[in-house]
Amino acid sequence: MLKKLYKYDLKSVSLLLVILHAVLLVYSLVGRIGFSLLKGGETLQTFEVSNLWGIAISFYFLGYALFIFAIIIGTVVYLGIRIQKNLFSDEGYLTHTLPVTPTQLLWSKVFVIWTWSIIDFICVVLSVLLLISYKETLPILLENTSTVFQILSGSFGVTDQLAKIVAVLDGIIQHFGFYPLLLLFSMCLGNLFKSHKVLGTILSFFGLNIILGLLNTMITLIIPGLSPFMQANLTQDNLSVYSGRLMIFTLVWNILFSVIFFMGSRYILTKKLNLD
Amino acid sequence: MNPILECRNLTKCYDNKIALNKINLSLERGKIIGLLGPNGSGKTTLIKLLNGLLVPTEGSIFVDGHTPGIETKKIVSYLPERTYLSMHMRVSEIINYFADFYSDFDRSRAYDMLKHLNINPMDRLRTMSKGTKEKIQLILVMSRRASLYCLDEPIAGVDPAARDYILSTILNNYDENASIIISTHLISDVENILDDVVFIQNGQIRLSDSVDNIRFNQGKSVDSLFREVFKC
Repeated sequence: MLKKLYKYDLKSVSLLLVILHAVLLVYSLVGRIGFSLLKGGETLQTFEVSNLWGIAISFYFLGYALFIFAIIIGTVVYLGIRIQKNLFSDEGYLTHTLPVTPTQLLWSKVFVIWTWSIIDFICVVLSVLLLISYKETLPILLENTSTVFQILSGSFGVTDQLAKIVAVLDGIIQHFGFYPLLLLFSMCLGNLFKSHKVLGTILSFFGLNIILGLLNTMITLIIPGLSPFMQANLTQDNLSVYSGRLMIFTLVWNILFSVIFFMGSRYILTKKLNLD
Repeated sequence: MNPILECRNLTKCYDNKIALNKINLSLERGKIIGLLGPNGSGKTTLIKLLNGLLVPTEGSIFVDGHTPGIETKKIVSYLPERTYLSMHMRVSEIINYFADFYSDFDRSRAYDMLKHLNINPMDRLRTMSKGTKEKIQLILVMSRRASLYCLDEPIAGVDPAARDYILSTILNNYDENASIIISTHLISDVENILDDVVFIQNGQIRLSDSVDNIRFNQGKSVDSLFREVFKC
């Protein structure tokens, strides 16, 4: 049943998202073709903003940046709206009378969010690569990517492999666990509001996010092993230990709340469902 | 054998308003039961509770001996009083959807009914009139070989000709062992197909009896009795 739910849920959201992401790729492709044709193969680095082409390119990139931003935010918002509608609007009368468990309903939504997060990420990366990867720029691109990774891991004081793995795992859990499940839990909490359920969802999402953020900060300030103010003589060696400890705490925190959000959503769908 | 529907002290409150007040009810199998009452009497609340769309405040409700859940959803075919289908879907896609989820769904029965009503399976729901959408929902619901059909206001908002078609569809498409609960306040239209009636008012059962008993013992039609009981 979960497979069937996933199939129909994915189908119901995909048409618009496929079109949007295809437009992004076409926009990037048009840009690439344009750059290739312009100035007889002159590279991006040698364009001058002062001339007419330069202005056109600036506008193109401004539009591109806005498009990327809109598509990333838009995908999440659209998925949220569709899931909310499927679970708690008139469509919910069908969704909740299907012979499936609330757990299956939730997993299906989570899988759809995961699927589109991955597609979204791949499309954005592809689009950027389409625009900036030329024979001349490729070595610089690879070098810069490697530097970024080094800076990222270095800036957290991470030196050993285990801590790097924890950092990556933390990012994955946050992106694929914490936030999608917070979104679903907020929708379920929104359903408990007597009226203005969508507003209830938005308030729950931002409210929980702020409260948990504050709680997290307070804990890290109070607990001796986590507080930066209680670390005496931070050297390169114990900075790495401290950062590792902080990252493990964040990882446990995100896993714990992902589980709480899932269980809470399931509880509401099972025991507190109230479709008006 | 368990009754198809059983309510024990079933209560449902919305804030301070009591929608259902300690209802005790047991419905037998193989009958067409009219759940009759004026607007706001608690008919839809009772139907939503038996479909698991609401949770009781107190008491319990059993469908074929089970509390509403995955087991009851397999055997209950529910027609809500609103359109619950995605407007962007084609009729054929909706039929596939039902066939995928409900093992008792009879695809050929659905296509027969569509053909009879001259509805193109390739049409999208958003291009259809309200009446046609309601007919499609009824076709989907009655194409299942369910043990209990729950029809909430199936004839409200459709023209008299469509009402006749809907009622004949209901009669022609259910197995003798199955039960049908029809919630409505349009008594005269459904009276002739009912076996039993349950009168509900202000969240309480006012009367539960067979149509024959009402006719022979009280010498009245159900419609007349309804008007008498619920006189404003």
